[in-house]
Amino acid sequence: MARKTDTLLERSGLGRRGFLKGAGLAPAALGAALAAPLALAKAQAPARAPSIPPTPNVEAERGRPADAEPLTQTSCGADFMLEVMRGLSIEHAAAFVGSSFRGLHESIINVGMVSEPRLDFISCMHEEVSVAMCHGYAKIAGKPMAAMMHDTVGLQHGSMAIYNAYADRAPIFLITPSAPDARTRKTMVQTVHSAQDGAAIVRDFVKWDDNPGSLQHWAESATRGWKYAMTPPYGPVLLVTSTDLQENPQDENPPPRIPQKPKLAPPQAEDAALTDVAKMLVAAEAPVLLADRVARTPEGMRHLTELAELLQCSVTDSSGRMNFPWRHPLNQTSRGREPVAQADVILGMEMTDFWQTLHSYTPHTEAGFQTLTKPGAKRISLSSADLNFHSNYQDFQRYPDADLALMGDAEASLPSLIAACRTLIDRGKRGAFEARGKKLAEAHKTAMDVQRGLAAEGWDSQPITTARLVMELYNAIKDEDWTLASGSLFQNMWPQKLWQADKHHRYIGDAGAYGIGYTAPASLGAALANKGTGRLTVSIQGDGDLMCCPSTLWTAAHEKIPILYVMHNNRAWHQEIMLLQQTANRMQRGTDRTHIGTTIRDPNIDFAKLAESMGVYGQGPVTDPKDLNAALKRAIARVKAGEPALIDVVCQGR
Amino acid sequence: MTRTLICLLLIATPALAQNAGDAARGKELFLRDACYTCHGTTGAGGGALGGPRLAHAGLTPNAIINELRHPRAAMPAYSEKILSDSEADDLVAFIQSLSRESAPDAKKIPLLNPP
Repeated sequence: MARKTDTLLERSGLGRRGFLKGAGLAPAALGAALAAPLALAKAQAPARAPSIPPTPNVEAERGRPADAEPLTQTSCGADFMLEVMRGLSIEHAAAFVGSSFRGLHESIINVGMVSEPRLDFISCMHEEVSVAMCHGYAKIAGKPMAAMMHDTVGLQHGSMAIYNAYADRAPIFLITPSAPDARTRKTMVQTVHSAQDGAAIVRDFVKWDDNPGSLQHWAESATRGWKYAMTPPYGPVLLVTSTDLQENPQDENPPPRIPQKPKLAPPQAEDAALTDVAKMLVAAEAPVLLADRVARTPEGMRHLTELAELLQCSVTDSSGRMNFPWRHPLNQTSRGREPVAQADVILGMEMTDFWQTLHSYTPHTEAGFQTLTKPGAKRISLSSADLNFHSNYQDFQRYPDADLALMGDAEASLPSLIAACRTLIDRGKRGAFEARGKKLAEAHKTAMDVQRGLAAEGWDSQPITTARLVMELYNAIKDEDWTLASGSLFQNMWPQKLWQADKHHRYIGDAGAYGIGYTAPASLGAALANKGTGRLTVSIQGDGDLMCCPSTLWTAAHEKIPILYVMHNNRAWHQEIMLLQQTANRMQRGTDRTHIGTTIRDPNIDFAKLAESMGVYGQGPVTDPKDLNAALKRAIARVKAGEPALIDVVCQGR
Repeated sequence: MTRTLICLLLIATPALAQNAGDAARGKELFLRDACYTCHGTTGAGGGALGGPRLAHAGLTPNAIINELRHPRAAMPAYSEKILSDSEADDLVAFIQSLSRESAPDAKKIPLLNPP
């Protein structure tokens, strides 16, 4: 059949390559391209052969002029790029199909997916989904996967998700095509909107980008980009990859070489400075360790725990990652700002917003921001973020005063800091530290009791409280090897306050730049990384977030990625309601109309039906908390069988 | 002992005091795209990104009125122009009714006390 089509194509004068060019055009053009040979076939049917053949047939009988370019080829640049990516241990490439990267697409599906080591194509319906999947994947897998985005418009779609990943220090290998040579530009859609500097739109929130001019250049830049992406602070990198470079034969002389993938050593803060920090921490009466994105790997969590136990001091966790066991007696996060206010030495590690952690905010008053710290309290920052700074799109708050600022990766610096502390702790101090640790353990227990009391309020109410939702979910998964792949800020951080979590893969933090539309696809990326490990991936999914990229559900079903989405369906962009109410009352106009533009009701969305329409097992809406347990059990059974599932739960706002 | 008891009564009495407001009308106001969005329909509160717990929080009528008119934190300010004194009284009555029954005992909820 294919051969017959080729013959028809050749007779039509389009040729295979010409047909493929046409097929990359808009559907209307594609239809026209298909219509020509089909019409020709119909015209050539013997029963209806006209006495005077149509013009194309006459041309076919005369013979066809030589093709300006070969109809077939035995190598292409994309095959080489595939091998480069395999060499960098990239196992997946997510994409919303785009003709400008069809060379790579074809190579991945026909070579990458059918030979080892596998590099699979993940089908997405929006570049925001592709990139956010890479974001979540990286935080579980500890390495990048690739996202391919169509020339210009695809990258524009993906840009918010790239910004999220940049702010959240997630490594991603991004590819977007270009058409730099006007002579080889193909017709119409796929190149008329190319860009001379496609990366410009995201340059301020990727760690690095390049526009290689040859396959050798591409290989070197891919390896260089991978190195940058995987060196703290992690971040996305972008290779602009021309369509010609993907599709043209490999004819470079000498043949392109794949560079060696290096073993990477993250930047550690200077030893002498770490010794100074150790002296301050060991001498302090009430030191506090603040952690945001400290634990890039399980080792980071182990080191932070070791340091805290050595000093028997407070740890307050901003939960950018799973930094510290949630029920560790030294975890003082639930005590709010009290530990900081009592501290005499504060070590902030990989803090996105160290300044805000050290200040309280009272709106509507002259006081505004007020420092929380005691006079004379020493403030130390240890962060790799200072090693990567851009000017336009920002990722910092007010400037935090610091007595000592160390540039270096916290996880990589912790072993030296621990060693320095050990040498300074004598027997006398050890006794004082143990007494301090006992007090902190009591404080942790008291804070936990307070949180339980708060969680009990409205326990049986409808809409269901977020505390009830979260604890019903925990009850259903606590005996599994679970990952909570969604951020918990909008659920009042109940998991951190009430769940037991002591493994690095239990929690992966949040969006980074608060770009809504992160949770659904990033959770799916985490689930992709967990696939085949026996872990159960769950995501508490906001309704507003899911509606930014509902096609994520189709990708989950299509790619058979097991994940449980539990909807926190408060039928609103809830944060915005509260902020709009503040503004309306400031103007003394009341809150009666603040639901306009901030709520997702009239009509309510049936998320179970939405899920089912895309092949995902759906249940709900669940409105009675007593029905949650059974619904969770049914859905988890489906997830453990390898399917995605969604339960719609109608909840309180927070 | 007696002295301690008197002190406790002084603290507790205002919280239990009833005002002249209509709790049913107050509930309507509470649920009308206003208070419930941050404090929850049962006054359970919404944590750091919501509003504080109102039920069983020992709030006096004056404390509630003061917070409505002159909030200290992120709470929207409800001036007399958008919430009359009578409506404020209705809200006070409803908020106080949330504490009429004793606070739920977290220790008796198995899910809050996993083994």
